[in-house]
Amino acid sequence: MRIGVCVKQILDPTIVKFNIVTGQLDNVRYIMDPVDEVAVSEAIKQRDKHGGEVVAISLGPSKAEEVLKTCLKMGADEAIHLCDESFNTLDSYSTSIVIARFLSKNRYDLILCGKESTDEGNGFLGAGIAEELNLPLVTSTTRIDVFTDTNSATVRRRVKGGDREVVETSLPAVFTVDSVLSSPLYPPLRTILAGLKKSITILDAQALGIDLASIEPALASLGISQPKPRLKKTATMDSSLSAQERMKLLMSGGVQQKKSSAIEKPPREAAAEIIQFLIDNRIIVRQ
Amino acid sequence: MSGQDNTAIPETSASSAQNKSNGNGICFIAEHKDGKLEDSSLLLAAEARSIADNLDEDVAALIIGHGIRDLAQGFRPYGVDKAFVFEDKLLETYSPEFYVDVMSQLIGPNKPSVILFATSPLSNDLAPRLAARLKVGLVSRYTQMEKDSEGKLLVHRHIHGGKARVTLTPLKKPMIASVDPQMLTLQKAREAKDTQIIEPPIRLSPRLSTTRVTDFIKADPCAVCVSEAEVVIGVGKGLGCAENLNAVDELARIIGGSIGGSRRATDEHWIVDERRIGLTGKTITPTLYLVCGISGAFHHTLSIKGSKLILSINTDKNAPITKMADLAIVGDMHAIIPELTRQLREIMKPTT
Ligand SMILES: Cc1cc2nc3c(=O)[nH]c(=O)nc-3n(C[C@H](O)[C@H](O)[C@H](O)COP(=O)(O)OP(=O)(O)OC[C@H]3O[C@@H](n4cnc5c(N)ncnc54)[C@H](O)[C@@H]3O)c2cc1C
Ligand SMILES: Nc1ncnc2c1ncn2[C@@H]1O[C@H](COP(=O)(O)O)[C@@H](O)[C@H]1O
Repeated sequence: MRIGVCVKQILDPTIVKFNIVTGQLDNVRYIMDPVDEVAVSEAIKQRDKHGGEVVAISLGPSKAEEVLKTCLKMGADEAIHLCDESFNTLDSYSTSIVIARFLSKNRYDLILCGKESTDEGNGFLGAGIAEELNLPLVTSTTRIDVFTDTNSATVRRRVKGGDREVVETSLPAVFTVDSVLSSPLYPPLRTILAGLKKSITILDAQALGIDLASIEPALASLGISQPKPRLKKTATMDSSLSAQERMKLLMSGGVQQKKSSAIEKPPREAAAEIIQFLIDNRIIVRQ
Repeated sequence: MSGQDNTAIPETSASSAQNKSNGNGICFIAEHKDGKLEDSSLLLAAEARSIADNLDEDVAALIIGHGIRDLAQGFRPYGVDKAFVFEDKLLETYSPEFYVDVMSQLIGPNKPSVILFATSPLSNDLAPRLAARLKVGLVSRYTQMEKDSEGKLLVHRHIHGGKARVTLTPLKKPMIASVDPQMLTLQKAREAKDTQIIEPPIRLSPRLSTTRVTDFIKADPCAVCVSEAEVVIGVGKGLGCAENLNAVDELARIIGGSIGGSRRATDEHWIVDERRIGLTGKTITPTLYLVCGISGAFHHTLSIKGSKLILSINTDKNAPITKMADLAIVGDMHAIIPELTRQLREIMKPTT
């Protein structure tokens, strides 16, 4: 079984900061997207079970080779770096086309990528690849069972509140992975050492046979800025109003700016207050 | 479609009421369940209307499924000009391949400027597929959409975990965009307007479907991992002792909540480590986080920011959690929780 897995290098979101003076990002540290680490772990587990090889693919600047090195140390068989000056400003649509072109050169039984990247969160790439290669797509997978005898897979996908949908598909297929799909992998030392010896294949636009002018980008980025704080709707309001009136007020945005207030009341009334809040916000319905 | 088409949104003209711009409109996808429109779709209709007013365009709803013909009337108060409706028995159960095929046929060659989705498990699956099918851009969870002084459409969204904001502009039509319905507020109801219903002839090929849903596994809302729960009840040092968890458990069962807690609660072994919320535990994104006897230390609150609603019960009115809460009750959890359970038993059944 040949498994392609897409990995992206991102900025560590827990420490990065926007500098208002320079308009740039400070505290920049590059890491492999955690959701892609899950995808790679799953790819390796599937390969160990069914045989075959794992090909890690990353599109990005020279620095992105770091995440591919990590993939090799985790046990990936091949690492492909799609790297070209002209790739640096690609939008997510064009990225999916370039990666799909690479994948189209070989047969892959399984193509995995994160359900959404932690830095940009487009949630697009899997769909872009599936469409371009005309393959079935299952998103937000939480469990993958491959049947090599029938060239098919049964997967679970995350829906709401922990519910799962069970989906059957033929292979090859594209699956986007949810972070609960796979637990982290602790590769044995010999895998790590073997990974250190493997080399990364670098492919530029020419090597890929891609004429970027033929790919029409879908979105242009006009730059970054400081995020504006989100307005939060709050539901603490005059309790003399009826539920319906409160609902209306809430829906009209009339209490949007109101700061939450602390309510101090005896237990019975406090509980009633909570219930009203739950009803107003449709957490519960009155029988 | 070249980039020029999009920037050609004209300045507001006096005749706009009759003769809308050639942007071909703002389209939104209506979600429904059990024959009813989801609230998020009404919020989305209002959002579509306000964007359309800003760009001087028409609003169209896309309603597809089975047994949905009458739903378009639900949009009457929101100034929705048209509704494209498609019904088919094949759409009774969700099949992304069918849905995308129908949507792209309904959209047709007369491309709208924008197609809006409200974020949901369904739209997270569908919006990227539609964007890929139409070979256009997807902007997930935008925070603001506006027109610049030259009439160019600008869309803002958060990146790097909310540390920065990026501004994008579409180069192709339509641009697909999704918005968190929690961020939307229903605008004042407008004058009711008759929504023109259009039912274009579309053919569905059953062979289209490449994947097949074979089963659905319903989670027990009390047993589910806190990171996936819709309702989380958090307990902290204020719980006092393990026995007091019984009362919380009863509440959790009636409200359909999953119990988690602070590090103090896991250190005391009142709850298992897997249920710790915070820097060294799980991140939660529930609709409701009911926080009981937790002070709201940074290490904890870091991981609860994605909660839609926060309700706290704490004896200390100055506890940091109070400032984060949408409703903060100052009082003793041991008195309030049993009372809450008792009152809930009397009046409600869980919605989920
Ligand atoms: C490196 C590091 C990592 C950490 N990681 C985490 C983490 O992942 N998750 C985490 O939670 N913490 C974490 N902590 C600990 C964190 O800093 C706090 O100490 C902890 O969150 C406090 O837990 P608490 O709110 O339950 O307890 P306290 O801070 O003691 O607060 C108890 C609260 O209960 C209230 N209370 C008392 N009695 C009652 C009653 N009868 N009814 C109602 N309210 C009552 C009190 O007013 C008080 O506000 C970490 C700390 C460090 C240094
Ligand atoms: N430049 C890239 N190189 C490799 N994989 C990528 C790249 N961008 C995105 N991906 C993959 O696609 C997933 C979803 O990304 P996105 O569509 O940007 O949210 C990521 O988790 C990665 O697995």
